[in-house]
Amino acid sequence: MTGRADRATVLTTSILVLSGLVALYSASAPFSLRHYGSDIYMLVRQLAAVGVGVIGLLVFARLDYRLLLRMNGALLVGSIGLSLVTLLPLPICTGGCWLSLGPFDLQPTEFVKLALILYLASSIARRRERMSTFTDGILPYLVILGVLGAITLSQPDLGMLLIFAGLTAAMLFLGGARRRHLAFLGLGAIPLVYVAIRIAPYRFARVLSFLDPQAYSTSSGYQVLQSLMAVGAGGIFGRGLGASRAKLFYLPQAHNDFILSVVGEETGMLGILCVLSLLGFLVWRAFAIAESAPDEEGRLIAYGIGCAIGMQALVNAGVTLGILPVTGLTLPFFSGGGSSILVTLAMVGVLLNVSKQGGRL
Amino acid sequence: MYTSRKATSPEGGTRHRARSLRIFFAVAAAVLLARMVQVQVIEHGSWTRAAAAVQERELEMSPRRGAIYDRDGTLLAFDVKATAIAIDSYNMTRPVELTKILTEELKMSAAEVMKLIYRSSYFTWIERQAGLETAKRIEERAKEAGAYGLIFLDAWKRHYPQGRLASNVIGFVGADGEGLEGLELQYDKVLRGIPAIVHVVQGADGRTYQSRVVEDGEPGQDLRLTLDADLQLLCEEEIAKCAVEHNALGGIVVVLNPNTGEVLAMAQDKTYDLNSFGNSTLVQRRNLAVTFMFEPGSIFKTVAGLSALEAGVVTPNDTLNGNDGINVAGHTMHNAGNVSYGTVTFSKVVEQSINTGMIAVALKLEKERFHRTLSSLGFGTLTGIELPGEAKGILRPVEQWTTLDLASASIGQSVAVTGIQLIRGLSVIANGGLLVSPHIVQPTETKAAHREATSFPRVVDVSACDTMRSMMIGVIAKGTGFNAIIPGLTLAGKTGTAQKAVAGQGYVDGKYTSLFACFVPGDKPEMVFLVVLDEAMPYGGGATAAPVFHDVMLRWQNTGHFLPPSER
Repeated sequence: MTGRADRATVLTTSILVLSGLVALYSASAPFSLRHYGSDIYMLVRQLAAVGVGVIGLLVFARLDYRLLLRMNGALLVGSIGLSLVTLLPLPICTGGCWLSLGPFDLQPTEFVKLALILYLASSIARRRERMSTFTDGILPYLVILGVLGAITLSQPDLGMLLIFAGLTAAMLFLGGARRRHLAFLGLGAIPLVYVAIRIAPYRFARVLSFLDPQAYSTSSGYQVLQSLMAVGAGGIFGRGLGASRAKLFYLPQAHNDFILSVVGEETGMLGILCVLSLLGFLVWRAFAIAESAPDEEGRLIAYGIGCAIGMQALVNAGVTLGILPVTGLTLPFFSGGGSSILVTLAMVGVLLNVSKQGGRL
Repeated sequence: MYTSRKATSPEGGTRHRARSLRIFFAVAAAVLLARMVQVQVIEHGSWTRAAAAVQERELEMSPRRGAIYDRDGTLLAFDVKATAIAIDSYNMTRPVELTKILTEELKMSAAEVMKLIYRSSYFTWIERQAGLETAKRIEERAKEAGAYGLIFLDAWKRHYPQGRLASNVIGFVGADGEGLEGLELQYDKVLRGIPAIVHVVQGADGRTYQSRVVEDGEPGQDLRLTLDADLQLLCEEEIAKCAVEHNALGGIVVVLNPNTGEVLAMAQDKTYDLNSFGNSTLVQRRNLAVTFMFEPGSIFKTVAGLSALEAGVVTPNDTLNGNDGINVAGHTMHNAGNVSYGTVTFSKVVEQSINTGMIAVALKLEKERFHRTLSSLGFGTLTGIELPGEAKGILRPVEQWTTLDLASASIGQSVAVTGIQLIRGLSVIANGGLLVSPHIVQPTETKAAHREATSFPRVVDVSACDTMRSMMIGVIAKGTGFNAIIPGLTLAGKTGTAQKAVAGQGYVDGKYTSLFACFVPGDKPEMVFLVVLDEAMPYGGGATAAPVFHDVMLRWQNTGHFLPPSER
């Protein structure tokens, strides 16, 4: 029953990982040199994470996703539990959404992403017949989303909550939930988001500065303005690989959330187009794998993974280009940060397993 | 393109829903693409300009500052490579270790260091001119300690290898590379050169990441001085010794080549280490030879005599009344110590510095005539020497002169001069009547040629000068200047002891300026020495100032200069 893993996905992933490393090196070199005395410091860390991630990818690609599905509850509870730890006053909790474990920092909510996909796939497939009812098709997921929302807003990491919500909505939509219910969910979210923004002053400032970056150029609009300067100055062809100026400490998080700005400055619109096309192609392959999945669970998993990667890329690019407020989301395969690349590669592993189990593409 | 086994769905519209999802993604991607076109194509120019305004700068890169040499090429001042150290407190790590390292290496107090490194800024100067070795050590130690945030930049540091030597002439340079005193100030533009204009790309950390020379600069020009470092050192040592010995407020030695106007030495008792000028006081930094004004006293008898000789109202052998007390316009003027000399020749008047005899000669002169001589010798006007802060001296206009003024001026009272002014005036006698322009910096070749073409103006007859010079030989051999005698060497000189006038009190007892001037050799002068001591005890110019010349000259001979014919 096992076929071959989708070659196009493997190839695309490889290209994404490699170009991600190149971009990360370029964006992080000044920072690394300045703070650690070696321009490859962040690159080496990222390479280590990629190494672990590739092992994860290989493991998950060989591990029948149905086995994972059996543990979906435990995985979700476990990862949410880990996320809750970040809120405790422990020495390993360095603030925000991070756990400090020796040389590496862990972002548990990244792992929640994969667990949530598995859980949703399993749960939605199980309730397939009852998805059109509100009590079965919407309500239980609202509860889980509420828990995740409480955690992410306390961390605070609104961007991750948006991904969780988008992912849940997309999978419920694909699983057969009523449009009317989903629309209700969406309308209900608006006041919640509004409250979330108003209770945290920095978040409100981010929105304000998004609406008028020039007026906030010295504070919260600074990042966006620097990002636009980088991307805009990059033009069509870019300043040339390695020639970014934004990364010379003008742009905070140049090798993390705003790495696409550096890509855009160095390689121009063509570079961003390449990156987004590769990511788009991967998402497209994920959807294709979903359509050829052997069962409903596999189909939903593949869609979920495609959506997770796709949405995160869209939001990140939107922030970089100044059409979305700053959220703090990473660009899959590109942004620095071990948890992000690890979970992304693991997701690709699961995706490959679904493709193996499924029919010919 | 692909065949799928249709996934079953309760609503049956899953294919439709999947398509909706794809459309959602496609629309979002299209929005991003549109935004990219807007930002990267349409607004590309304005974003590039906005970025340039923040990231690019035109900087002036100071070239190496010109060196300063003495006449023989001894280095007096030059630039060495140094490192400027700054801190970026936003990117600083391990401030405690950093404080320790900087405190130890830069000899600053911990409080000073902490004040600097805790200033919230991307760029705060810590040390503008750290030595290369020190900077290297700091960099390595910081790296070892894992302390970040230090910024190291290339810089120049002015170094004065001779330390205190000629400090009052050379002056020094501030932290910005700006001349603040002396020749460093006067020749700042020449020494500094023209900075190169460099277009740089800077990071938000203040560091330069790319640079391109837009306009070439020019390195600073070197200065070659007329000073002789060896002679300068002798003069400084002897005048300092003498000032201490005789408890003087100050002392000056100036040595001039009377034929060229070159200043060979300009020394004073107070000097300071140019390499740590920050520890010096205003009094130490003052250049007395050009700023200190004093009444020249009896030395001025040479000038008055010169005027009388040229006017033909006196000859060396004319006899005069040298007794104490001469009535001038109702005032009685005296000899030093109220000594009476009887009937004396004019030569004797000069040799023994007899006031009454001199005044008698001066009274034969028209005051306009004497005043004209003084003016033509440059008294009352700036010499134009290339040093800041030169004083003009005091020579009141002839219209205000009374007969009393004529008499006083002939013995060096009621006029004030500077050392450089007086030595220029005396040089006229030494060189046979030409008024030289004293200078301390050797002109560039083109300027030298120009100077040659425009020779010095003649202001006095040769014969009057020669006569006065001969009388001055007598001052050393037979008169008040005997303390200067050096066997085998003919010298011509004049002593002076001027009672100091204090504003509002007139001449006061016990405060004197002691002076001695000397031509070497006396028959064909190549050097003119002037020694001035302010409020020395004992105050007699012959007793106190002449020995300074004597000791300098003797030591100068010992290094092979002006040896008597028998020892050559």
